[in-house]
Amino acid sequence: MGVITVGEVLRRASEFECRLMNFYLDLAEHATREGVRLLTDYMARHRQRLAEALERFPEQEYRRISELPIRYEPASIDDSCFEERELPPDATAADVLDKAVELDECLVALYRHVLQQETDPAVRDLFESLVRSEEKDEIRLKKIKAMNYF
Amino acid sequence: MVFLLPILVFAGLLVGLTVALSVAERVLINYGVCKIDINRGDKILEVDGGQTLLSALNESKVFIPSACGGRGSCGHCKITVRAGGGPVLPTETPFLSRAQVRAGVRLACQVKIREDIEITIPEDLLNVQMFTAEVATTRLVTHDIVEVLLALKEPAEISQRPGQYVQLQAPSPEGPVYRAYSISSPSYEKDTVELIIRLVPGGIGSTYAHNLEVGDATVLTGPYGEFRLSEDPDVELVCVGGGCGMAPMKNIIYTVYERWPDRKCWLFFGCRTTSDIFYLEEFQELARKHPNFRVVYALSDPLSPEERWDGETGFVHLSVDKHIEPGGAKRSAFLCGPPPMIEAVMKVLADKGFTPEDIFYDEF
Repeated sequence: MGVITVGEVLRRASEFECRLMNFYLDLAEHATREGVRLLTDYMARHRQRLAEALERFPEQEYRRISELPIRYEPASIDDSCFEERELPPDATAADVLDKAVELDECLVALYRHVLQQETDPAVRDLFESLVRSEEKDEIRLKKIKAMNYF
Repeated sequence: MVFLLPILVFAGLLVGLTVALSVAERVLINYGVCKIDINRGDKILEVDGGQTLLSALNESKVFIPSACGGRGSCGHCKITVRAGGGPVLPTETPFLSRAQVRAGVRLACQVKIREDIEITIPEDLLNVQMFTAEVATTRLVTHDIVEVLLALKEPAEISQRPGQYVQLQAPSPEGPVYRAYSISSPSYEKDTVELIIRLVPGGIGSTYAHNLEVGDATVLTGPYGEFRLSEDPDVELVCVGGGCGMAPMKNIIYTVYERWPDRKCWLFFGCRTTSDIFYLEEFQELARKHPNFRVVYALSDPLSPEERWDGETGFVHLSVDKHIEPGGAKRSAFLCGPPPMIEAVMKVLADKGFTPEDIFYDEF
C-alpha cells in the first residue's frame, strides 16, 4: 500500500467515470436493441457524479484537500472492474442495468477505502457525499429496471 | 468452540459499547423540549430534542413523504429549514442542488433537533392524514401488475387531486416501511383508494401489495404531490406513461371526463409486449363515449410470431411525435415513467412548442 494525495485519488475516480461513460457510449453505438441504445445514451450523458459533487465543494477547500496524503491500495480501483463486464451487442436493458450497478459498486469500494482511514473532516464529507451519490444512482438504476420499459 | 469464544467476547464488547454510548447520549446530551415552528407560526409543535426532524414531525402527525425509513437514501423528505437546523450534512448534498442548499432545503431525516427550529413545508402537507383501510378487491391486470382497491375505514374519506400519491405501509424485518404509489382511482371516489403496483423481485412494498387479500387491513398516509390539473377546459391534456406508469393517468383521465365530457385529452402509453398491456379496452370504451379522448398504445419490442397487435410500434415518444401537432394551442402534459423516457418525451414536446411550465412529470 502506497501513499498518494487526495487529488490523485479523485483523478483516478474521474478517469474511471470517464471510462464508464465511454463504456455506455460504446454500448449505445453497437447495441442491436433500440431500447438499449436509448438507455445507454441516457446513462452516458448522466454519468458525471464526481464533477457534480466537486461543483458543490468550495474551490479553495478543494485545493487544500487535494494536497493531503492518503494511503492507497492500487487494487482498490483498476482494470479488474471492467474485466468480464463486456456486454454483447444483443444484451438486454436488464443486463446493462445489472452491469451498471456492479460498476457503480466499484466506485463505491474506492470511496469507502478512503473513508476507512483517519482523514481530514472535509475529505470525509466529500467522500461520504460521493458514496451517497453512487448509492442514489444504484437505486435509480434498479427502479428503471423495475419499470420494465426498455 | 475455543475459536468462537474471542469472537463472542469481541461482539459482546461492541454491543455493550453501543448500548453505553446511546445511554450516555440520552443522559448526558439532553436537548430538552424544542419547538418546531411550521410555516411562520401556522403550527407550533413541542418535541423532545435529540431525534430527527422527520421522526418528530411524524410523531406529531405531520407526515412528510419518505420511502427509505429515514436512512437518507430516497431524498423524498425535503423541507425548508429557516433556522436551527445546523449545517448541511454530506449525506444530504447528493440530493440537493446548490440553489436548494442556498434556500435552506434539507432532508428532514438528516436534521437532528438540538434547538428550536423553524421550517417551511408545502401547505398541502399539513392536510396529509394517516388512514386505515381494508382491501376491497385485488386483480392482476398483467402477469406482474396488480390493481388493489382499498376501502377507507378511518378516516372514511380522502380528498385527493389527480396526480397525487399515497404512501402504503408495508411490514419489514426492521419495522414498518412506507412506499409511494400514485392513486389511480378518480378524485370523485372519496371512500376508496386504488393503486396499481408492479411486482419488483425482492421489493418490500410490491411483494406486500401482491400478497394482499380481500379483507386485509392496511395503513397508508396521504395524499402527497403538488400537481394541479388545469381547471381551464380549453387546455388540451397530453398524458404519457411508460412501463407501469399508468396510475396517475387513469386518475386524471376519469376525473377529467366526469367534469368536462368534451375536453381534449390524449393518452399515450408505451410498454414492451402485448403481455404488458392493461386498461386498453377500458380506455377505448371511454374514447367511444368521449370523442375528444384519443388513446395510443405503443409496443417497443419486436412482435413474436404468436402476438397479434394492430396498434403502434416503437417507443412512446415516437408516437407522441407522430400525433401531436406543433403549435401554440393551450396544452398541458403529464408524464410518468422512467427518467430516460421522460427525457425523450420532453424533448419531443419542446419541439412541438410546449414550454417547461406546460409539462409536469412523475419520474420513478
